[in-house]
Amino acid sequence: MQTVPTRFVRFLTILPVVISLLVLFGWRNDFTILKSFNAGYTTMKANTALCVLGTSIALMLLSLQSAEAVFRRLVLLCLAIPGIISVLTLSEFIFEVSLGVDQFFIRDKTPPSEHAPFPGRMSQLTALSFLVFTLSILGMNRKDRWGRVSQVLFHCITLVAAIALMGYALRVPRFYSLAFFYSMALPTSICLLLLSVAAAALLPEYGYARLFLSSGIGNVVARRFFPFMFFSVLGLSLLWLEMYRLQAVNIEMGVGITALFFLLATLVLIDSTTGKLNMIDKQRSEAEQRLRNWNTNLEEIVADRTRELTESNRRNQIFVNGAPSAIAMFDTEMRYIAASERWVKDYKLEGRSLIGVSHYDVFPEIGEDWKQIHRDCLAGEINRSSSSHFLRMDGTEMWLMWDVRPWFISENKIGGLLMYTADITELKLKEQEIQSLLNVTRDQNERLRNFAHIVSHNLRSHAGNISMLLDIMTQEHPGVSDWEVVKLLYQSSENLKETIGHLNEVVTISSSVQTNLRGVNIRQHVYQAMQSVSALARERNVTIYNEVDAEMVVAGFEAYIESIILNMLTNAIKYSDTTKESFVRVYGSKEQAYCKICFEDNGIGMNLQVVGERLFGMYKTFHDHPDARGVGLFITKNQVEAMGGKIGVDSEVGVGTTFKVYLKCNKI
Amino acid sequence: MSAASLACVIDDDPIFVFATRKLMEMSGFADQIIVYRNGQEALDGLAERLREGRPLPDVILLDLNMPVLDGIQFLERFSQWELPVQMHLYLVTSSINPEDIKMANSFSVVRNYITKPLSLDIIEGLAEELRQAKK
Repeated sequence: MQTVPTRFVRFLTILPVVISLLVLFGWRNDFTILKSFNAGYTTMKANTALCVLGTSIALMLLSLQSAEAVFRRLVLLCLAIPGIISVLTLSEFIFEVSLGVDQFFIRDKTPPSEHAPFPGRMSQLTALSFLVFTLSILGMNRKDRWGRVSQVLFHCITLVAAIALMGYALRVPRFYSLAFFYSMALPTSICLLLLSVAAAALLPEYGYARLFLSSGIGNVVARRFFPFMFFSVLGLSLLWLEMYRLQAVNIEMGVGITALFFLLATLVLIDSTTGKLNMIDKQRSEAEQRLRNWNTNLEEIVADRTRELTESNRRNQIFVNGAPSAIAMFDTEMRYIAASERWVKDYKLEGRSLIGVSHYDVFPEIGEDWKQIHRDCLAGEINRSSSSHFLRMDGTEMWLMWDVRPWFISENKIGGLLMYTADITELKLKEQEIQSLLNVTRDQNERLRNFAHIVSHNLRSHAGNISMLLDIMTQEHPGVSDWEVVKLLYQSSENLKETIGHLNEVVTISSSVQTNLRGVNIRQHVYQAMQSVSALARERNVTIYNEVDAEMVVAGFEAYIESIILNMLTNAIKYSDTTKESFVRVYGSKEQAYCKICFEDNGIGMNLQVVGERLFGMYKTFHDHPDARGVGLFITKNQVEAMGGKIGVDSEVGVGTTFKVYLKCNKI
Repeated sequence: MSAASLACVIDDDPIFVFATRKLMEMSGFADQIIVYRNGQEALDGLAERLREGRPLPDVILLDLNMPVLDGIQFLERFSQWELPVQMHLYLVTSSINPEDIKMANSFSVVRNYITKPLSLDIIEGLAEELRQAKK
């Protein structure tokens, strides 16, 4: 597709517009010289000038190459002037009638002559030219063979105008009147020449316009050669003719000189053209060289990349083959490129050749779900799963952890898949086993809890009955309360109630409290507990020091904390050494996420090597002590552990005991 | 004068019933005591009394754990009844399960929750409460 040289077209149309305006002005004001540009020659008619004006403006508009409808309408309007005038004029010639168009605009007072028998009427050739112009321009926009026809017609007009011009230049009247036609005026021929060239330039794909407007090297030569040749031939012919007419030279001499000058001029032209062509050729070969260099570079880069990739893929293969896990590498058709020994072992593929074989032939059991995953990955996705069930052909169940991802040949081109799998079947089976064990344990725990509830409930009922019956018996027979047996029975009943109370406390310690722990201030609760045991402490002469930091807040369950502190203090007081000045010190410190609360006393202490693990067991008493029950420490330990804490102890006989309670610090 | 003209004990434990009856007699708690051994017996018996227009108990001591129809099931049905007289219903049980307590307290007919064993002090306390309510 050739581009339309729009500026060239507009430039060409300027002169015809100027000429036609001048001619019209000449007719309007009767300036003879402006009518013909050459006194004594045929005048350019006012109608012709109007036609030129219309055609020029139409071409100018077309050169703007606008697709808007308003432009098309303006072009048609402009073309109507030459169209109508030329048709009417030609009709006058053919039918030999006067339609009044000749002097419709301007009155031509020139008397009729042999060359111009009808005043104001343009020549047949001019009229024909404008008709052709109008039709060709109308046909031009159609991108079929009409374009080609239009171009031929434009060239014809150029030829006619050029012949007429040549005639004027060389003063050969036959050229501009063509014997059987009336003469075409000089300005008319100039205008027609320029306009036809301009119109031809609007169709750069066809005819000679293509020759001069194309960008090939031959076209460059054509653009340089033709104007030069044209003007030099014209100039030389003119010179020769003038000299001949002045009788300065004879014909032979004239021909000789003309030929000589023409040869010289051609030589100069060829020289300059050769220079130009050589320059173009040099530029071309330079550009070629650059292109070749680039190509070589590009080839080297491509070769490097390919080498790198091949190397990296080869490394991948070696890596895959030797990997300690189950890895396989596939091409885009899911054929094996490499597979690790572990892969072969995991899937029991020993002795089978895999390379080049389709994955789906090796594993016919692979279902559509897996195939979809592979397709997705070949499209660039990465897929993985931490646990998938895989049923082998032979009925073996496998649990797999896998990761499938594409590998790349180049930055954007996927070469296939890398598949990593880990056989977690054993792990999975263990997990299931653990889960079922856990269920059994949970079940048993639940049954145990129910059992404890029922036992405690039933025991309470019977103990309650005994206590009620004892009450009734002593009420009905007041004397019996003095009996030793009844007193002991009372004592036993009380002990039974207390034991059941402890049992209840143990049963109600729930591990579920851990989920709703709240901030509990230790120092405040130690003070509260000190109030509760103050009577006992005074009785046994034990001083309690609360040295806990006022800021210490643990994540706990208030009732448990109260019970723990009370129990610790009661224990310390119970087992105080009456021979010493007894004390209990309560202090705290932080150990990472835990708050450590110490209960230190200088009591009778115990031998931990003997006591050992049983210290916090149920119903263990290690001191020969009247109030000892032992269940207290068991409850404390359970309560501490229910809140996610732990308890420890340091003790030495005769020196004292320190209980260390670790509870989680409250996070705020 | 006794605190209640008719007291009702609903419990399956004969020893507890015996002891309770004794304690009530000793404190002169009620003129008459009727005993039902489970919730169903109690519902039937009370319904019959209601139908025949015989006097209904002023006070009921209800156990929770019983065969056939337990205390909670008894309450579910009994609380639907429309009673012509005001009745004082106490739960008397050896359960200290907080869930039982919560469940029992959700019935508006339940005046209080008493943990076994009963004693003369408790019976006298109940009598005092009844007298207060009558005034």
